[in-house]
Amino acid sequence: MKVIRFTLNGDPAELGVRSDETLVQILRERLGLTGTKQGCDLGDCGSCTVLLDGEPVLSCLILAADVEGHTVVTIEGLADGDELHPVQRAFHEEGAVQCGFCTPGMVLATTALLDANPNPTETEIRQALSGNLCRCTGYTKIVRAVKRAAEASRIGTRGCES
Amino acid sequence: MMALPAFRLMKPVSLTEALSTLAENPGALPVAGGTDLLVSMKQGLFNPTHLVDLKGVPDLQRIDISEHGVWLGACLRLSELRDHSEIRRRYTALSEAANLVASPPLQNRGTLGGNICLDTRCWYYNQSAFWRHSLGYCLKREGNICRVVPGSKRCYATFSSDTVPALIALGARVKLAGWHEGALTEREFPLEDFFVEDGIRRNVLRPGEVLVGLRLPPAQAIRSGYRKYRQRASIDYPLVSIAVALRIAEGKLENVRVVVGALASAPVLAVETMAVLEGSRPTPDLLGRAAEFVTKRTRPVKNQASSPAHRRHMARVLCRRLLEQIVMAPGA
Repeated sequence: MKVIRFTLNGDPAELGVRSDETLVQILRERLGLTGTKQGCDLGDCGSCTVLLDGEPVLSCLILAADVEGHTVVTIEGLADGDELHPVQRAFHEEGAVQCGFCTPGMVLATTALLDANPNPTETEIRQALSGNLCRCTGYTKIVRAVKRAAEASRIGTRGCES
Repeated sequence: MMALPAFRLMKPVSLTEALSTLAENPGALPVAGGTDLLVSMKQGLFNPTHLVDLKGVPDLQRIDISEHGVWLGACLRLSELRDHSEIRRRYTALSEAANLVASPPLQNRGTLGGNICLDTRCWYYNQSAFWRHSLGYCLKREGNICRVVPGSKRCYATFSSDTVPALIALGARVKLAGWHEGALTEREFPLEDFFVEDGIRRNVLRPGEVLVGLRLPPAQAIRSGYRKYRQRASIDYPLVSIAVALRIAEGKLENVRVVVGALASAPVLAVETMAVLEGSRPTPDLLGRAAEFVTKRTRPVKNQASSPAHRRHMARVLCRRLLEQIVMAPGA
């Protein structure tokens, strides 16, 4: 058991973890943040995507002990109280959600994309989301939602948090 | 949920500490990004007593670019190689290959050294412990027969790294470090000599030895590229891949290197294709003819999706397209 300290959704977190615990395990089972989904658990599906120092990574393949001193953002950290994050709102308004299992990962990957590239082409969107699989195959509306979120942040209804 | 087996995580802060830790613990394995190793551990393919994390060793993170060439530390992340403007401009094949490994979230975590030391892959091997147990295991792990080539004494698991064909085409040398009787040992040689055509052994890395980094020769107007064929255009390992590097001087092709990935247990230099191209004036007909020879030294087996014949066919198609693209491109 090792005590790790890191920033989780903007707040300091401190937790004792075993060497063999993964980030998704401590998020879901120890911290109760079940918004991060555990899908294949083997790095294929992208449903466990979180932001580590602002970059999308797969929390099923990251040792919990490795986030010591780093910043983690999960889907729970995006909304401002009851006010949805612009990416969340765009997914909601476009109906880019079917069963919802891939959605937290899709939203976080989109947030990272728009932080780095506020005006992505469709190819760039598809490339950035290529590690996130939607088994309902609802990709068309997801891509549309990313474009809508990009547009919303461009016209400044509310900028992406960056 | 697939739990990891119990192990102890060690976090050395220098190369000597990492090597001595590996030497003191014969059951230990080095880990960097963990994007391949942790999957295999969840499937029960590796059960190390310790994992020695190399991410905290500063020497392994270094990247130096000068007129004498490039030094790439083993723990550089694939996304760093993908996004590095100088790498993209001078060593295009490497940047393209890094961009095609798995998916962006895995590129943010996976490292160059990890991709070079990637385990070979097979339908009958990369499965859960339950799945493999139900079948009675295979030659590569816990069993004594090959499920793909019955009666075979060797393992045919497929070499699946994307960066390696690109690096070999670009003339990379690999540097390894070990620990012998309390002292650091080092060796450096061409990257193609690192690999062996054996799905189990797969490379010449000795127990406790660590891949430190790679050296690339000066680019000097080299033109290069990498193409990959896979089931889905995201996530998957290659069914076949091709890397090409060459120079054009006075209208003739020079220093041609063509490397085939994923059609054997090691990367394969397509020497027949290289011989046809070297010193010749490129025409569409010549490039097509050269591409026909690209699979001559490969004999893939049916151990992953799509038939061996189709994979060899796609190797010729990718090779022709890549050669046309590189040769027709405006001067590098």
